[in-house]
Amino acid sequence: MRMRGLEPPRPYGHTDLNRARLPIPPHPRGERSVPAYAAPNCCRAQAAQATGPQASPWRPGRARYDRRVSTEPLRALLEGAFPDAVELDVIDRTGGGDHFQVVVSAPSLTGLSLVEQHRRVYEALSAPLADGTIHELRIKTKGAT
Amino acid sequence: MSYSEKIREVIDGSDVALFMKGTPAFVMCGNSDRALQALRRAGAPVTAVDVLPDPAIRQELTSISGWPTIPQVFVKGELVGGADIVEELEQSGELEQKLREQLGDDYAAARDEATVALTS
Repeated sequence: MRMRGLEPPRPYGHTDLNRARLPIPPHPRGERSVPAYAAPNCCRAQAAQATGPQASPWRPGRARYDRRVSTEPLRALLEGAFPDAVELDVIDRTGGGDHFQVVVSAPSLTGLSLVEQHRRVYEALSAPLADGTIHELRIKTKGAT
Repeated sequence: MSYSEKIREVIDGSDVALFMKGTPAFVMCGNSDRALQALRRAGAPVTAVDVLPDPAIRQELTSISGWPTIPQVFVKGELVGGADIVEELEQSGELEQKLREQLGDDYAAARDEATVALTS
């Protein structure tokens, strides 16, 4: 509670807090951390490759939020659930790592109603949906030949 | 009467039931609004239920429908989908076709919008 004198300045005033949060990466840069539920062995191997010798530690001010960090675990889950997918995409809609657009087109979805198709996607992503990683999910599904 | 009974009553007793965050007069979520707008464009007679007053409403609804997210749209007791599906069906004209099949050709004539509160 303020007694007297000046209040310290607020860097962004009373605005959306997300802006103040943006330069801070969600995971440490040194090793890419993929949640356990999202890491079958093949994807771990890829992650290790991606963080090879050229991986540099995070530097404040220069580093940008990497949207792939948040979408890759979801993509891995969907690839596991739809190995036959002809189109599979996960987009971080806001850059905040919790609003996603998912696109899946797979022969295994052919003939199912949209409700059933979306249910398959919800099932594949049930872990990140349950633990709150996904705050909002938009789904676009199609059957394929 | 328990929430689950009330929810079933709305689902089975309404031509078009929309479970949403907020009410049509004061929508509290962008996706609920997307579903509502798509239903309005199709001229659907919407019976809206606000799930926000009690988290138990949402839990009961999800255990009944097996659908994890809000909004949820039902036509004559059948789950049509969430905001993405309803929007997609509206754009392709399938939503109107479905409403016509289920409710009759003159379904848009009434064009009433009702709000039901489950909390008493």
